[in-house]
Amino acid sequence: MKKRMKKLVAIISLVLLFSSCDKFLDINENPNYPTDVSDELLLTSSIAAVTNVYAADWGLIGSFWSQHWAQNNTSSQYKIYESYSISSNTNVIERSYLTMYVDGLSDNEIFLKKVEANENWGGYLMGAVIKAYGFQYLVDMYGNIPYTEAFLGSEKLNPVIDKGDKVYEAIYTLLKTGLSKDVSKFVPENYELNDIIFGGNIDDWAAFGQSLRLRILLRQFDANTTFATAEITKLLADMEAENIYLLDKEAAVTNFEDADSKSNPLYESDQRQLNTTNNLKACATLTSYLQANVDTRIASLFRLVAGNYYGLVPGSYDVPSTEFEAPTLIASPILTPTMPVYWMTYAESELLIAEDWLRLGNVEMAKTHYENGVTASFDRMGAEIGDLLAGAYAFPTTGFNNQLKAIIMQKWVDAADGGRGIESHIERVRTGYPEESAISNQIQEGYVLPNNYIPGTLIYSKKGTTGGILPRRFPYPDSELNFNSNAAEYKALSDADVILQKVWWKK
Amino acid sequence: MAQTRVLTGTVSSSEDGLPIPGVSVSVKGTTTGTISNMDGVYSITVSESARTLVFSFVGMVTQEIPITSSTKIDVVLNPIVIGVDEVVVTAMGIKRDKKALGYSVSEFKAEDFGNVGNDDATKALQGKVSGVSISAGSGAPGAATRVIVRGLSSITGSNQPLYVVDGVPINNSFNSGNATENSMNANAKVDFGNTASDINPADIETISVLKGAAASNLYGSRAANGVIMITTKRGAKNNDLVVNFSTASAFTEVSRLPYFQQKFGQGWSGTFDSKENGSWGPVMDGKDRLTGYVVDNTQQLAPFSYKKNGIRDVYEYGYSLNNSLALSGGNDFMGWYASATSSKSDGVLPGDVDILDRNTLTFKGNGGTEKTKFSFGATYMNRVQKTIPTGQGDDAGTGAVIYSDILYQPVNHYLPDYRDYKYKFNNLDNYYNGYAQNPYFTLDNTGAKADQNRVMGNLNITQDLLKGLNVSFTGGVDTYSQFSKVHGAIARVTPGSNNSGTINDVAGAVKEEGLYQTQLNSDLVANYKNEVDLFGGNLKYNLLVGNNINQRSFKRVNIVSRGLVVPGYYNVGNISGSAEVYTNEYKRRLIGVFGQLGLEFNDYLFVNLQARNDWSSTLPIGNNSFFYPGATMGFIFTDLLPENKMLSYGKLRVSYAFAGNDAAPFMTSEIYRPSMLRAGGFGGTNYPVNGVPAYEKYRRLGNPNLKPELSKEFEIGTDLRFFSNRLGVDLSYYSKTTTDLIMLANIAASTGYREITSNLGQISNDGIELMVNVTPVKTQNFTWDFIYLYNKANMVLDKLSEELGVSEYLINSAYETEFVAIPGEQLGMYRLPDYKYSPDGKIIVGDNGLPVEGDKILIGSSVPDFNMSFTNNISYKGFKFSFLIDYQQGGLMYSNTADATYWSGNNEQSTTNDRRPWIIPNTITEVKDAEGNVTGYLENTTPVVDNWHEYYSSNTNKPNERTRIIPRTFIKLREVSLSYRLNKSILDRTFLSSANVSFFGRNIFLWTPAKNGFIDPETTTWDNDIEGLFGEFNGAPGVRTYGLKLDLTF
Repeated sequence: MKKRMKKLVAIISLVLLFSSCDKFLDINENPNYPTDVSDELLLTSSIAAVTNVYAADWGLIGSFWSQHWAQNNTSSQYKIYESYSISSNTNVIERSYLTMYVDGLSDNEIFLKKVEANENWGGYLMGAVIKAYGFQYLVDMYGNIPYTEAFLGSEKLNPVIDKGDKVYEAIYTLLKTGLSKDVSKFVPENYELNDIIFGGNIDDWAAFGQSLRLRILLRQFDANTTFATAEITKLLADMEAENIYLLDKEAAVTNFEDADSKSNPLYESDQRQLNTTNNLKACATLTSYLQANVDTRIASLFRLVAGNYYGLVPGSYDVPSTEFEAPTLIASPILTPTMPVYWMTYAESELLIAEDWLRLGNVEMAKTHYENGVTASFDRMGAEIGDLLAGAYAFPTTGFNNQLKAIIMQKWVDAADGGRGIESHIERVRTGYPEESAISNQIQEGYVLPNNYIPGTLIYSKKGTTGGILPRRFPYPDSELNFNSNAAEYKALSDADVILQKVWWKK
Repeated sequence: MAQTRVLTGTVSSSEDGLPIPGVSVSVKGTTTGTISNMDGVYSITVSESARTLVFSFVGMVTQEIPITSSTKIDVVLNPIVIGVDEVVVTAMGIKRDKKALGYSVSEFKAEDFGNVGNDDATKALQGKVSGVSISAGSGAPGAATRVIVRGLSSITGSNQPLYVVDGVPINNSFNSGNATENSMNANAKVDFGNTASDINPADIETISVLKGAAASNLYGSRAANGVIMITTKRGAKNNDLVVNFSTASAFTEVSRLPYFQQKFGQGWSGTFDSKENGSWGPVMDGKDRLTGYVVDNTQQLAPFSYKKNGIRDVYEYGYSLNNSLALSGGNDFMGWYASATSSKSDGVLPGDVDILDRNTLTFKGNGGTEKTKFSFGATYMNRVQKTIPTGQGDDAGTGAVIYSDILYQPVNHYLPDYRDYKYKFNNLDNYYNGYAQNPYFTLDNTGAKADQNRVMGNLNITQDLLKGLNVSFTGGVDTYSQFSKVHGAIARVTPGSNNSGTINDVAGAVKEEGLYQTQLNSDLVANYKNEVDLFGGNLKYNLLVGNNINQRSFKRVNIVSRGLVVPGYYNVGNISGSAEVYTNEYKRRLIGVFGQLGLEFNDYLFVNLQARNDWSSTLPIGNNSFFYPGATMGFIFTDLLPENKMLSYGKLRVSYAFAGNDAAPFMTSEIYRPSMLRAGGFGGTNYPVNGVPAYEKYRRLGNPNLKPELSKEFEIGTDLRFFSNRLGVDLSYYSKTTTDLIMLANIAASTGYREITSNLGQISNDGIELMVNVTPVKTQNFTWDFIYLYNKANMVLDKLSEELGVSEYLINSAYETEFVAIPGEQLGMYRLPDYKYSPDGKIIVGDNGLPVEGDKILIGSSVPDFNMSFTNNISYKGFKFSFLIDYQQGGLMYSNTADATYWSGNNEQSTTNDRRPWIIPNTITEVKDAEGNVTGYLENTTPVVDNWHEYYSSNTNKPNERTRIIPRTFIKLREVSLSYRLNKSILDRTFLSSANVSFFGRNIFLWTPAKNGFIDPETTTWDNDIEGLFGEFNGAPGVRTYGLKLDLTF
């Protein structure tokens, strides 16, 4: 009996010994994923995330709001874009905001920390450009946003929301810091594969950074004129002195395949994955403008249907299919699986410079860069410019407003290529170009425009829900409103009001 | 002529000495019998050969009295003391007298659920256990069963009970998900069932349901959501060979499809259009019309009229066949039991696209000596299931979903007419419907199949060491592997053909998955029992201490290939691009020590003290230990009361116990993963792309401070039996609070993360469970039992962490509908855009006369007000007639099936006002100035004319999406059976020892309120837990079953 007891005690103590062993329980490390990765992998992730949002979310809605494109009448995917009924919980608002903060800019933040720790100043410049690029759009579309306390994880679960002008100030400083760094020790080979914009060419990044500086300065020109004028003057002088270079090529992501989940994000979502490829149609605002000016870029932007480049009047999606079926009548935008996503085109770079000179009063320089820009746009689209620069697109010799309009209208057309409508939308809010049609409410749904319509003037959507005023910006996403206690004051606002609000630089 | 004589006497009760009328008096082994009269006096004529008289009466112990030479035999009958002798299986497989328990346990024996031929034992308990909600995801063979005990107590963790078979926990994973995506969303999904549903019902002896923490906490953290304890049949030592054969076959048919309107036909905006996928066309006049497309210069002609069963007839009769053979016996070394069961079913879709084919083999043994006992069991199971996707079509993946597509067919078409999908008018290019694929093409070309092999084994050795002291070891293993393949065909519409441009090409997809799970469990328990005399009474006590070690490992490899090359060939290599490969594995361990002290004083006062401590691998080291005690008391107060006729037995139960629960694996740290970016709304970018790799920081913030969640549960109940057990009332009230709720919570994106697993909330559950048992009639030949169950459960999210600023949690969503957990509300609230109202309460409409979207409002919860069920068992001689009516009142659910029928104008609701122009009542429009400020209101003068579809579409009239939130209320005739057990005297002349035949039906009748003319409200398509409670997205329809079952024992 005693022997048995001993055995029992032995067994129990063995088990308890086993139990108290922490090693036995220390198995909670995830074998499926790494807990750290090298910086260049994050760089690609960051660029790709911003690219996705820029093209397939913001670009898409921007091209509706810029009236490059319109919603087909035999399908319904983007009705809410064209009727301006965007709210805090609209998918595109939530998704794009989350992708920017949780994926793109957040990965970029880790990238920046890593390269800064290694004194890899070339990498730092890339990260600074990406951060400035992303945050400028966030301010332009969302107004006041978290910046100083963003990306701090559990340290700051409720980041403070910074004013838009402060964010502008911060990204401008960051950009200048990045551009001022000594990049001589940069090893481009490390980024040849993973830098999917310039393949590790740090000079290109610097040039892009300078052009982005210009974009940031121009955006705030009206609200912060003294500062902007001084900085622009300096920048252009540096450029003339060849101390710095501005973007002289396309800043584009071209790393796509014609394969499921690997292609251009706009093509992937709208063409490959959506259940019909017919949602996007040409908008009459743009087609009328291109046709009136006999602009050959129309053939690069739209697919001819039944021998015509008809475009739809914005908000014609409810015209019964018995009247006409848009897919058999209305031109469609040309989207391909491997088309590039342009973060900034060379054309835009030149047009930015043109506006700068114009603002500084040098019309001659403005004209030169305007013509460079327009030519670059035609070249990129593979279109013949002919004698348009001497005719319809000649730079006006006088009148600041006419000259500004000429520049911005060209940006508007240029941005129709590949879904960059968000940029031309923001520029429209800033400058008022393209202008709004004075006869919006006389125009009928469909594709026929009245004779007194001025081609290229914006038509308030026939299904507009914003009381005749074109939308300006996005409502705040529910996820930020609901989960950030600092967003309380923004939560109280109505989406319909927010969408018509002006961001800080719009006076 | 045998001689006879007359015997007489009086039957009286031992309780009060009074005579008992109506006592059945018979001669043993014959059919001769009589009944005592009003004075308890009987008189019976018996033959000379009669040896024994049998006296029986309801509620009394049957007595057999030998016949002597005396002609007067007076008999005193003793009442049956109810409940005292009932033994139930409790936690850790410990058998205890039911009277000793301080909590409620529901136990079912094979005969309680055996007559209706269910192939899933958990489904067989539907409507029979108070406080437990059981529902089937759909009527498809093998579909998952959702079992929730005492309401939800977790939001992002599991609410599944722990399943324990013969003392060993088994796996209950839900092997389902998106057809060809590696995430959960509304897109095409397949349901491969949940693994606990695969226990062979034919092997089950009893099922015990342990509901509260007091009942289950010895099982540890995994039992926090209750325990379903299954004990299987076993042989006995020195028993003759017994052979049981059982066969059941049944037919199934679709029970509920949406009710369709019969007036308006194909078209849009009131105009006939032969390619439309909705019934928004003109009134059907019955005249012949050209229909569909022109193909080869010809077009078909069909009467423009409502086609009865045009959609229903796509479904056919399904069948199921269950055969089970069990052998048992024993010698003086051990008893043994062996069984083989084959269960086959083919669902209601044509062909063999929806089948379940399950075979199990079991061998068990038990024996040993007086001091050393052993038992073991091993089960092998092979399960093959075929199913087809539910949810939303996924053109980049498996393509169309038949359950969805058939809802978008105008009511003037009879779908079986299009069965030959290769015929020129029916093929993909020319099928009349320009927006939905020919469902017969889908049926033949899209599917899913899972093969599973599973082995479960257990071994127990119990050694007596001293008098009253034994040590017992139980080891168990449950391991399975499952390989599944989901495929969707290439479906290309020829460019330029009729459907080109309106029907998307489906690229075709294959997903292959290999899954492996193993659970190992070890329990070592020492048990000591003794009794002492104390305070002039008797005190029995038992002490138990034990150790539990549990390990679960999981591995899965998914390969998804989208964009197939060779049609009809489904292999992940058959693609032009590269396949996506996903792997996932985890291992988790848990160690527990537990103890229990049971005290029984004089057989009427029972006190139990118990405690357990767990260490879990999923919690941060150093913070991974948690302790949870409990105490229960049972008091049979009738033992202290003066004897009375009315209340024959009364017990009070009180318990208070804690339960702890750990987290899912890997929640404590952060990870990086290959970038997957979503934009545009459909699909996205999955890295690597073009040979360029990219890694992103995963959106979940790790939490190194994670704590276990803890619940406290108080339960009070009573078990009362009246009139010698003719009436029984079992009532429980419980109140449970779960704190430090482990939740995956959203955080602001600006933190750089999207979510964190943290201790965030508190949930309160309380509820009432009532069971009333009545036996209005009980005579020797005729018995009528009636069981009434009532159950009401509240589950309220008390609070969420203020620290994290978490104000709510989004559980699930579809279109505009959100299913959210919000503090202060029942768990699972539906939130939708409201109308926008003017200050005086009128609905604001836009320029198109349709309501404008306002703020979001909560419109109710998924939690039913109450459930009740009525079971009737009527038996007469060998006949038994039973039926069970199940009633659920209240609670809401989301139904996309409803949405589809609104969208397509196919349902009755869409014909409001006969589709004549109308101005939506009580509506006004806003007047705005140039800045967009509202300056006034005008009466709405814009009618809904031919844009009815916009009024009913939740895309253009978002507040109207509330019509898709339908009541969960139902009344179901859940089970009906009529069985006949052959009389022993007949069987005596055969080699059979028992024979029972039963006709049964399940879910025969379903009533739902007018707001749900769409679907069986128990349908779900997401999972069998909280996400699934959201509702259904084009789910498979429920089915009605009729069958015949035969049980023979040799």
